[in-house]
Amino acid sequence: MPETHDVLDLALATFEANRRRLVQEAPGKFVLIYPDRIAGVFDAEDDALAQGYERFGNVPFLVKEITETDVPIHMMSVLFGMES
Amino acid sequence: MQWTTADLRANGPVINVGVAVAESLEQQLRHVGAAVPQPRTVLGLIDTGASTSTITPELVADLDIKPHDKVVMATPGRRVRVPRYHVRLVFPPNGFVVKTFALMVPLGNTQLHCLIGRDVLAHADFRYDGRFGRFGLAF
Repeated sequence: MPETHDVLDLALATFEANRRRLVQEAPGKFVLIYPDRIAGVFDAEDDALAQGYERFGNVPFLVKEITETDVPIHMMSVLFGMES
Repeated sequence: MQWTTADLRANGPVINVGVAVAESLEQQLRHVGAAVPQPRTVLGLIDTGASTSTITPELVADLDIKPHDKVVMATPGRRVRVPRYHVRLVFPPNGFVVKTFALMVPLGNTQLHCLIGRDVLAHADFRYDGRFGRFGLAF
């Protein structure tokens, strides 16, 4: 099994490949993807998460709101010791 | 609850906060008879500059949780993609629980393992009184 972030990247790539269609069919809903297959679309994020845990267990499945673009999360704190 | 600290200006509003796995993960682990990671109590900084709460990679490893998205985080001067985790934050003294999605972000050479962001403050009354070195957080 690939590493955690490889699996999530695979799911994200699947989302991007299907984003346009998903936006047309289910805007504002939440898609569940693992590892590279769309496992369902849900009205509520909690429902998608619960379904992901039930079907796949504690693994890095993707739950993502279906939107045309991703909005960045703004953090004004400069404490972070992350690598860019 | 109100805290008084000797050096609020230097340390900021720091509190103990419990971090636990998501309720839906806990239910699934119990369902299959697996061990549920115990909540960890860590030092968290109340950060009005953070739109979303964060947890450190060490805490993620301790809780054995997996990410369910990666999001673009914009800080002054850079943008990076960071993983996002579904957790519960538990606040003293009454154990008020906030279900949220925390970003995994290293916090450098500090004792902090959590930034408590505006996603939590949306549920709270936060007061900062620098004159007397005290602050309060009520839910």
